[in-house]
Amino acid sequence: MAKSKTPELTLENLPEIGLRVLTSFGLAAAVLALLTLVTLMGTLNQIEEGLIDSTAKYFESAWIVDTVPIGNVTIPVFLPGGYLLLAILFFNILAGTILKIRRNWKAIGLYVSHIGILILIFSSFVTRHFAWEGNMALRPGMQSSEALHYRNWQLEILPIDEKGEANKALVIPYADLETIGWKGERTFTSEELPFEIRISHAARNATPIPVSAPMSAQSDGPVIEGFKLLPLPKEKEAERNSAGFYADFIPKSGGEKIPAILWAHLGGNFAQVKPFTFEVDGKKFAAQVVRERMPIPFTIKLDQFLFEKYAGVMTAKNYQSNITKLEDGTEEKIEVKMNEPFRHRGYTFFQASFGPPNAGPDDELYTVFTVWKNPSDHWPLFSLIVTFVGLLAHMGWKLAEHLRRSTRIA
Amino acid sequence: MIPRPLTVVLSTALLASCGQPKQVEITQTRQLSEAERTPVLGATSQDRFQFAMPGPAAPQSAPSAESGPRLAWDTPPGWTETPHPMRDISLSFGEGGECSVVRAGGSLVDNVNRWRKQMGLPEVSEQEVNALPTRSLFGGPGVLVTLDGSYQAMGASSAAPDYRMIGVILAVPSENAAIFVKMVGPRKLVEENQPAFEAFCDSLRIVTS
Repeated sequence: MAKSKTPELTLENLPEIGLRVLTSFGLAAAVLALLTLVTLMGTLNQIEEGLIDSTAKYFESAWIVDTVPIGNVTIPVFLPGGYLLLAILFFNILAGTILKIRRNWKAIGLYVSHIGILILIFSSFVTRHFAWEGNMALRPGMQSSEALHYRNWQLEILPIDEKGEANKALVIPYADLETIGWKGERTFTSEELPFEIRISHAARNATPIPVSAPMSAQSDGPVIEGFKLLPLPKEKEAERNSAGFYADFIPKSGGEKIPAILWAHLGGNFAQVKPFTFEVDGKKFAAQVVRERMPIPFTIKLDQFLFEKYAGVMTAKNYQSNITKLEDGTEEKIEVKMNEPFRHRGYTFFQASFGPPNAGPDDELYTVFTVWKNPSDHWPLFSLIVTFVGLLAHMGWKLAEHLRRSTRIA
Repeated sequence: MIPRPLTVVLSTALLASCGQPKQVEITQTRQLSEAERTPVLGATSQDRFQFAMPGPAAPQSAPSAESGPRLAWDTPPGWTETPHPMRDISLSFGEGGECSVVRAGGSLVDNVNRWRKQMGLPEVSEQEVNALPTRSLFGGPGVLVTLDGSYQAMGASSAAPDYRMIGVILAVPSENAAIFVKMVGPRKLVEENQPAFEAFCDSLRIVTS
């Protein structure tokens, strides 16, 4: 096929030139080369910054602005991030599929394989924006219909009734808290509350520290009931970060503000939350920082946890949870084992771990599930099958054509 | 004239560039589960932050940075301070090495066995604990514990093999508590850092300023 001449670079030719660049193999090759580099750098960066921060910086970003130390030299890095590169690759393949592949039956395999790759890239977009991962810990007999996020925290305000009970929590989500920063502040309001909440000195990882401790001098936050909040460097394992911030509860009626340090104590799986309690206009409220919740539209009850270890060592040979799924008045018995997750209505329950740590022979064990909700859970598998079928059809057709030619020559 | 979709994109970008809003309406609510409906009310900061133990470093009454007794120490070279809410001192060194000072209650034998359990070792009797060597800590006789085994940190799902724990426990009868100085990490790393640990223990002191 004769290659069409590249148009001259003029304003009116710009759309055509742009389209040529977008559909070019050169662009695809450049993007794939950059993706290889970004993957390598992002993987190496996990040693320094851990999985979550490295993923955010290298693979979920539009641009990477970083420095890489090589020996005694620090090299500044400015590269397109994985998100931008995959977006370019997606449109490059899409435009190429529509405009470049010949429109006849012989090219059907190429069409199908390209569509498979597009599904794969699109599934990563869906995972990035719509997937949710947390955990659910259950003791035998316990049941739950919510999972707790591994890393994200939320601030909850609980109106307390005369009996000292609360029915609901007003939720300030993690996304609204994490962007405040140590120097910033933000005010939250609700018609249901007789006060405003002003949040400041927010840190993704922090600890309250008594002012008697010498290290408290490192915090410029105010002292409240003998404590300061000390911001800490982020942990490599992001789930070990404990968010903290200062809150002022400012009565709308004009009374004095009530200051507090609010902190997300990691605790154990069943650690009791001790909220900050205060009164405004004669009404009691509690404020607590807890893990972000994901409601699940059915209930999981742990009937039994089974654990088996190799003789003489601590390594687990097998562990499984026998659970009952409760939904719409029906019960279903299910076994969740290592590498055999339970899937239902877009939610996946993996047997992740168990506790308590260092449990003795008489200790009651609890189970911990990783709960994963991802609308594109099976799309990568589906895309690989589609790509495989497309390539098989294309190569099969090419083979048939080759054999036909060979027969004709003979 | 700018096309409508472009106007929307531009105005969205302009709004985004203005940063986060200073005032936000709370729109989300959550129904509490049965277990969450009776929260612990009236907890003090001391309760909430789990600094419940009395002692020189964290007096019960509101302390101030300028007065009162406090804990002081010399951080060994190469070690870094890593504050921890449940510890009076928390330090780290190397890849996976950590050292802490905490105050807690419980009998000596219970605490030694708690550490042994963390290292995957069987419990020992009171007689065996009483036979352990001692070293000076705050001028008093601290019980020296050295344990090799597979270490399972609190919250960890599995034990790390070939670890060593060296700890000193000093009973403080007047407080009905004890002071625990503990170093734990990969065995080789702990062996290399033992002189630094000894120096750290020797440097621990109470100062009033």
